[in-house]
Amino acid sequence: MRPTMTSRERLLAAIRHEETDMVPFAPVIRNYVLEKFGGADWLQKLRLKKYFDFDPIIILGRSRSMPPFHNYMFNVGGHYYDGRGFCEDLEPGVKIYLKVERQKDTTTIYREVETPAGRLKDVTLQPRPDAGYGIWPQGTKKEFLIKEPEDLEKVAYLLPKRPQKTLMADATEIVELVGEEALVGVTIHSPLTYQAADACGVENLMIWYYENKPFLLDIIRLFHEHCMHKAKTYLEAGMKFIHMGWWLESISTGWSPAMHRELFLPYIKEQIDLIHSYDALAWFYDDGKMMKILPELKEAKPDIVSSLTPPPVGDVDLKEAKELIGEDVCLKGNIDSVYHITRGTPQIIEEAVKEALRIGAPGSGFILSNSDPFFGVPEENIKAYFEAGRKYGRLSYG
Amino acid sequence: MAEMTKRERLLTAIGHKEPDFVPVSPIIRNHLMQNKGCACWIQKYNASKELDYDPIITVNRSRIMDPFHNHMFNVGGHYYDGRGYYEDLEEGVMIHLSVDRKEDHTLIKRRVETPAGELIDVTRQPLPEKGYGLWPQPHKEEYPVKGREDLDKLLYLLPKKPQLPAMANLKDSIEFVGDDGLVAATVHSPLSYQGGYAYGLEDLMMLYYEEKDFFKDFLQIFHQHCLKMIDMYLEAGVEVIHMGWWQESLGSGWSPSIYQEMFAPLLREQVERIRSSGGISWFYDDGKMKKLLPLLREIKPDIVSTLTPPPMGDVELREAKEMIGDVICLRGNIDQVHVMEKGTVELIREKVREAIVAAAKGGGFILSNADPFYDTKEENVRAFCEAAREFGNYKHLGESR
Repeated sequence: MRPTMTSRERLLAAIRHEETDMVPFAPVIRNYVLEKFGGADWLQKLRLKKYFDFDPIIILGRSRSMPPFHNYMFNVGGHYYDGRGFCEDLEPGVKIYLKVERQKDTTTIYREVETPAGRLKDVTLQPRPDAGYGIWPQGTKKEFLIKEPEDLEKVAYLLPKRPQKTLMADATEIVELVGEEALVGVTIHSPLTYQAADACGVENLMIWYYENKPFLLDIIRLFHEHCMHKAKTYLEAGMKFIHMGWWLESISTGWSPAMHRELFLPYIKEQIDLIHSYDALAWFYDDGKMMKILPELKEAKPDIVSSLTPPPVGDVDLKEAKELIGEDVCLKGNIDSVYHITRGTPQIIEEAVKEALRIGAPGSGFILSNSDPFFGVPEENIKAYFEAGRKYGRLSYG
Repeated sequence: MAEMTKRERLLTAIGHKEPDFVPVSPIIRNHLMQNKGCACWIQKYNASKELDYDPIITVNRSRIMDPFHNHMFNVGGHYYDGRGYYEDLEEGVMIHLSVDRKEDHTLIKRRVETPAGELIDVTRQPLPEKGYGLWPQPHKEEYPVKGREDLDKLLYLLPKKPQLPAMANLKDSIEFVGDDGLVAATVHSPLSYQGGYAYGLEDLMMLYYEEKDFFKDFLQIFHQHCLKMIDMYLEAGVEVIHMGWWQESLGSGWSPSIYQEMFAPLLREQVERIRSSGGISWFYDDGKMKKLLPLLREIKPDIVSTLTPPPMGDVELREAKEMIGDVICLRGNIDQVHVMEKGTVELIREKVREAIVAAAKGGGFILSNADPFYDTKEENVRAFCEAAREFGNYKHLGESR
């Protein structure tokens, strides 16, 4: 069957539960392109389209050097932007002292922040890539920035109020340049993801749920407000597609379904409502166990839900998920990035793709994808995945 | 003649043949920054489509896209996609930064501990839109290099490897631009944004007289770093190396004889390195250039810009064409202040026509402005590009038909 839709048209139609010429296929390719091309920016994701036929969803601001709001929780060192000064996004009166120690395979960054409300301190260990810590190693905190309730007022000085103008200008231009080749959006990480969890430690947050709940609620509220502020800024600038990265609130991180409902659902809803009020699309992303939060998501009504990880890494049965929320929400995912793609064989991948499409494709509202980024995958598996994704995606509606 | 692609038009002109039209390639960075909020390659590319000009896009001029972090100019270090903070520095280096956000500037005190000893500098970074212009340069209150003993330490601040994600972006932007223009990587000269921020230009001028050997060694460190960057860019598939040599300029205060003695050998080596790898060398000096032209004729970069006319510069375009135009492609020389910013549409049209008549015959000419303009009306920018197409048709050069 000849394609009659562009990648962007196909993805948008599936999200709206409309008929498509074939099932859209949008693998999560970030780590793969970083490994293959040395970068994981929008250009490299588009470059992969020259090798394989698929429908990219490109999320700007995922690249750690590019989000228009510098994240001082995660990237502790401050930042330059084109034509702006170092730490220019902070308010006058803030002072930062950094001691950066380059070791063999890590960098240790000692930071002290002096704000009008008082001092904060943290220590971050940043492993180097290609030095035994994987392709995209996360920093670990030896000391967290937020230690007690008094620190919240201080940490507010590290949440930039204005976006970096130059990068905001880029976002809308990139949407235009990419055109019909892909669907382009921006990321807003959740209150915990790369934010409160990096400022406090996720284990501490869990303990505070029992020991000092008002403190935990204030933390979540502070970062949620920052999320809302960022989302509004993007939406006002004309962005129409927001990726909501909520993996550190995941059940797999250790939160109970009851906590998820109590602590996080109200904010998920508030963010989705805001996005919808601008006539934009909301994509909810949780790469852990999701079965027990699907009823919540049915209430919150994001436009897309991913990544629907199957057992043993996750717990999602796609058939059940489709029945539970598939009528209202477009599902994206469910190919296991470890057991199918990385450790599987071409036959296993082909079967997994066929099965996911058999269940997910009927009635539209499905985007075939993997449950998490993959790397270190044999090239024959990559080839099998991309070929099967397109071949059976065509047959599903053919 | 069939219309050429923008890339063909530029390459034909650089190769000293006559294309269909005189290529027009304005330096539009500050204008875009002012009007679009950003001046990275994406904005330049889009502007070239909108205004129909022939861009040579310097992709890594954007400070967030430079694969080699410049620790002289951007003292704060940098994150790159998927890499750590200061990951480009060698093991054993320790950086102490004190960043003090003031009302209209940021004061950054830096102490660098290296295995060879300690360097200290203090940088005042003015904020844009606070009375310091659109794109304010940092001001050094204390330079990191104070004496010869600091040269070994300086080496620890010159990254040996490029940042891979930024290199990947560079390659992809070349492919993205394709036939719509040329993509260049900038390698700043030993002094521009490098030595000039490590020691201070006035002090370097004194050093020439007081400790010439130290001065030579100082230049050599940054020159070797330039050669390394050139090699890596060319290996990555960059066709055009934009050589930003404005702090060595006669306009900065160096004499022609100092230039000949101190800078020319380094410039020659860089141009030859680019040529030997099949690249295109684009020499850029936005100051007074007239007395440099004989030297440039010997060194033979492929493109020379910006050929600034009086009163800011001293280049008379017809004379430059006669002196070097048979071996070097000229790029410039429209005055960005008196013509582009303060001039009328009529004046712009006339100056464009004059430049084309003076320099376009036989190819080897790219029309441009002598330096970035801002506070310039959109109608003036449009008039500049339109006049280039109107008067730049090689079937009737300089005539409007």
